[in-house]
Amino acid sequence: MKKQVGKFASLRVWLPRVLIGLALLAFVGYFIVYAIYAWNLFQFPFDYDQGEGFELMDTVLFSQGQWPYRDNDVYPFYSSNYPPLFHIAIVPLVWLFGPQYWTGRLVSFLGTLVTAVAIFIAVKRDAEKRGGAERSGDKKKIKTSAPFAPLRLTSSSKRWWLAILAGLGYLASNYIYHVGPLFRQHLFMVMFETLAVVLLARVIEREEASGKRNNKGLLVVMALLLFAGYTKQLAYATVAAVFIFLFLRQPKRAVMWAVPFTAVTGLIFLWINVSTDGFWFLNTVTANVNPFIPGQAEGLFRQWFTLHTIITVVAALFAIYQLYFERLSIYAIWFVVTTLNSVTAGKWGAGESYFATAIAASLILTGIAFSRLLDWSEKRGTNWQFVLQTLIPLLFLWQAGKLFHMPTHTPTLAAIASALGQPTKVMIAPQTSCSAPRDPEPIPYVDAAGVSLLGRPPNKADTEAGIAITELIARGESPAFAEDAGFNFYLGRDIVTNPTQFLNLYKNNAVDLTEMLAMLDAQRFDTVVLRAQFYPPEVLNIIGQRYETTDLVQMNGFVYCVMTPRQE
Amino acid sequence: MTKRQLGLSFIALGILAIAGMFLMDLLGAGQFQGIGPAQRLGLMGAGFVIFIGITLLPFGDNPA
Repeated sequence: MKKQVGKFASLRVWLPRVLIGLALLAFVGYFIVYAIYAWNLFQFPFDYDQGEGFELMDTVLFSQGQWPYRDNDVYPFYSSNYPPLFHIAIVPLVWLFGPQYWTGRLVSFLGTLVTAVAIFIAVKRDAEKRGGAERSGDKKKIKTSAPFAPLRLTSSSKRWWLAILAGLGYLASNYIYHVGPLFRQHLFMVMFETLAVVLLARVIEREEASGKRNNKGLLVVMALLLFAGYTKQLAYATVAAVFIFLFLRQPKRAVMWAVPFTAVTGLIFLWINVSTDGFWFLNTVTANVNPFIPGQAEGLFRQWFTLHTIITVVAALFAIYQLYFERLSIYAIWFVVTTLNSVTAGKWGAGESYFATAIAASLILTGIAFSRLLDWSEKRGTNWQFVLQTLIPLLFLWQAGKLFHMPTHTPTLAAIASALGQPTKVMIAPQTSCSAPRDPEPIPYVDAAGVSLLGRPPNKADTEAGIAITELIARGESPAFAEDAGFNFYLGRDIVTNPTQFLNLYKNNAVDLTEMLAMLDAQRFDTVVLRAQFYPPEVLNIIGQRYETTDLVQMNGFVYCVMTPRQE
Repeated sequence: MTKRQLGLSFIALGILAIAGMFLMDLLGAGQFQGIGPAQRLGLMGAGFVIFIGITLLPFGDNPA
């Protein structure tokens, strides 16, 4: 009998530890996979995701002291639709190393690591704060009776594993994995948003504890929000969440801060617009008025929820709890506002990355909710402690399983995928818009998000394919009229057009095609390279009339059509 | 701000949203006769916000 009791007691100690260890192992595994993907991308010298090259072009223009908000009607028909901060942050690297794709990819990747650390700090600090309140005997801060009310806490400061799981959870999201190491500004914006919100929580918490206002702290929060907004426009949702939170806590102060914040934001906007002869407004506002596709929004919402079910449900339940039984935290408001704003993922040109901010918010809320449940269980006795210490890592393991993604291009990774009961290859037909359909081929990348062309680390064959395209372009003397910027960058030639931006402006009747059509009609470009045909119909028509496909080259799962002038 | 005030704000927001949607109809915006699919979704959302607002009222002067 004593032996049985002893065994059970031992199980109660070791089972949670083993499960926590397994959960940590799963999320550290995702981090390793993320690092592998990033490392491979850093070495790839062409566009992996269409649009990367244009962000590099923006950076190059800034490095030369020029604005990228330009007149699309005249050669080289190039302009940017994104705010400047991400590109400006990369300028020193471009000065030092030239126009390299790895510069922006590295900065974006590091930005995701900073966000993960901020999530870790938010969860860890919440536990420590409640631990500190208990130790100091501050009864005002400690409500009892409800499960989420802060209670006696002796081990919360040791609960580092929960904070680590929340932080790594961000990097384990399929969406963050796909986009994190790309030369795209979105997750750099999420970094500023997360830093602003985590700092705001700290500032308000300290103010309420000390009774003294910390305007300097709030000023830094505003600066971070401004940085987020001038990295990408979508940060308006976080700005709204911050001011809603401030309004709930301190209405007068919220208004007092909203006025100068709006004024500074507006003045910077006006300054850039005047400096660019109005092309800033045209390219960042007019060009972003894109049609909303309900099916796309619905599909992405379903996918996001299916992949992130546990952290989303826990965050939503905790937000509802706070709505009725506690004061609403900035994290709860941030989660609700940014989740609702994720509906903008249904806009043409938008995508999965629009959920990144909601994912960061849900991880913080989940970490805090679980931490409080563990506190509560400590008061309730060892049975409850055992149940929750077992259940929480199990839930993280379940979440890890739902997020499954792994490149399988090495025998070790393929063996791990196989051991986990996952396929080692997925059959995907190369994407083509300008050639006959091709048969599906095995891709060494498995993703619970479904068929995805993002996520597979680019390989030597992709680099060779990119170089093959540049060799075809190099036969002529002009820059290529190409949908990817990478080929002209590789050859040191002009970057001609930013197709999606051009198409957006065309759809808003804000571009004049005359000069471009005339140049294509006169066969002024020795090579045209198409990937997705994101050009206005008139442009595609004239290309079809004046150019013919001579080579098809497959790179990154896309068929590139290399065209040369038709001989009359 | 209290829970009751927050509830009242939600109710006011929901009512304003419903009024705004019908105002759009009066101004001739939208492609559909009567209540269109987007309006139906909007009305459901506004109704939900009002419902949340009503459920917050009993929580009185607790801080929001």
